[in-house]
Amino acid sequence: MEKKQKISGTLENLNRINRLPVPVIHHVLSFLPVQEVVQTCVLSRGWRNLWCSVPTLDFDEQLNGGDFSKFFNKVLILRDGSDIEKFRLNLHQKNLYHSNSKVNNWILYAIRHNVQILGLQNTHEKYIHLNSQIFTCESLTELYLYHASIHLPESVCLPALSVLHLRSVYFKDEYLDEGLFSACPSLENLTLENCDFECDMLSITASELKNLRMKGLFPSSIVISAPNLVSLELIINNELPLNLMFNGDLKALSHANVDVKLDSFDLTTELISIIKHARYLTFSACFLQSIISAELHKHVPILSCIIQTPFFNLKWLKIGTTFRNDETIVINNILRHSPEIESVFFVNDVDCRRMLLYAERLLKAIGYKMQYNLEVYKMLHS
Amino acid sequence: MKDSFNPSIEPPKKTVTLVSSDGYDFEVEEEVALESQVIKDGFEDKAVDDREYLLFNVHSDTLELIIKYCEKHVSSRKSISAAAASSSSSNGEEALKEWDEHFISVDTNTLYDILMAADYLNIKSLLDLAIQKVADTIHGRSPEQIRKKFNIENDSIIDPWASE
Repeated sequence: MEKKQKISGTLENLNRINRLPVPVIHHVLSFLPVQEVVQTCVLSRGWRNLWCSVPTLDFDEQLNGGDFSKFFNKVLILRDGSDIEKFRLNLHQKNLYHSNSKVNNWILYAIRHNVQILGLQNTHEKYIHLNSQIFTCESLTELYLYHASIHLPESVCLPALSVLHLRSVYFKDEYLDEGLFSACPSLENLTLENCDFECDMLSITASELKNLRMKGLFPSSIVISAPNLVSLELIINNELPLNLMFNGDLKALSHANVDVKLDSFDLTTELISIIKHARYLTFSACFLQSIISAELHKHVPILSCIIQTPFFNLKWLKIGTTFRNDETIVINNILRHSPEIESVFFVNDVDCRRMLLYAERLLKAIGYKMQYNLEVYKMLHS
Repeated sequence: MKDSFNPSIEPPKKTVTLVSSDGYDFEVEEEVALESQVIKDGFEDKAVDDREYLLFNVHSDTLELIIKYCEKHVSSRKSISAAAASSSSSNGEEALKEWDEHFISVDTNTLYDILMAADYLNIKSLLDLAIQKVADTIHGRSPEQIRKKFNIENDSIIDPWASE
């Protein structure tokens, strides 16, 4: 009996993939680039039309030998009209001359088919200029753009959008006050990385925002209203000090990574008090300098502002320092006002010996009393 | 370590019973069973003493594997978050990935059983793992190779790719 079962089991195995339910086969095909999905039509009669209704379209130009846009257009014409969940376009083309409109047509196709997740990756040096339809796509939940330029329409409406990742995106608008972010009421995850801005002021208003990541060069003035932030990363490389302001407190903040040069004592104090709830903090050497220079400039010891707002939740601190005296004073004070601290990391790319000496001194000064593990790492900049 | 619990005051773990299609009972911890979205969805409505689930589509051999997977993921999640709290670098996720890779390296028949069970029970991470494995078998292969791999009979009348 058992043997018989085993034999029929192997026989069944022969063509089991054909007997998977269609949604499961679609799921399998959604892990493959479109070229390979379409190829499955020749496997057998049963497979001939399966690809037509796959809800994921992942186009990678690099995988295509022939005329990419011809192939792409054909796929879009031949597939059935079912909705698209995920649409990813990966462009490597050498000649972008007339393809702005082509790319926009492809994206329009996705929008008309209620696309939920849309990704555009463009590795050509020229930007792809996107039409404004994308900013009124009501089905869109996640949008990833890499190397594109955008001009916002008069009214943006992205009610379902929860993830927005913009890398190397050129904002052509001269004003970015209200337009984009406040028109995305569901936005939870925002990344702005190495973008170009025409405007002087960037305002981010997003009441549901949980993760905010900003990296690169930004307008000199930034206002952030995001009361529910959990994680904040500010790695801002502007040459000139920044005018950065937050509206309201960040009570839910858990992780913060700050690498900015700020304009004044008040802004520095405000930022410190904004991130005081965090459990995990990373300060760059540059921000530490910002604290020190603010202090010197105002002749007010910034320590007083830290004392007013102790880091009650801080468990983990990573800090960039060259171990100058004024820096170690500030670090000591931060640690002294962090009753829950467990781990401290120093980031220094040159002076390992001084780091060890300082760590020893620090342990002697406060370590024993406060009962925390002090860990010292030498980290090299990559 | 304030957050760490004291095992002596921990109440006894709640369990649920999963019954396979061939009639075997599996008693598992509640949080392990809750890895399945299907079980989770109806969980609160069920009485505490009636936490038994008949899984008509899952054979005991497969169920054993599924439970092994869920137990591993529940326990690694705990150790990963504990590691994250105490230091910056944790290779727990890497280790889990490796474990997954090893776990899913099974014969085709078992792979389909896991796939269908993960689909039926709606365990997203496991479903993705199994689906990725099937997709890998297709990826980069010619139609003829795929047919061979899956034993698909070529019943197409015209095969436009055959001449290439």
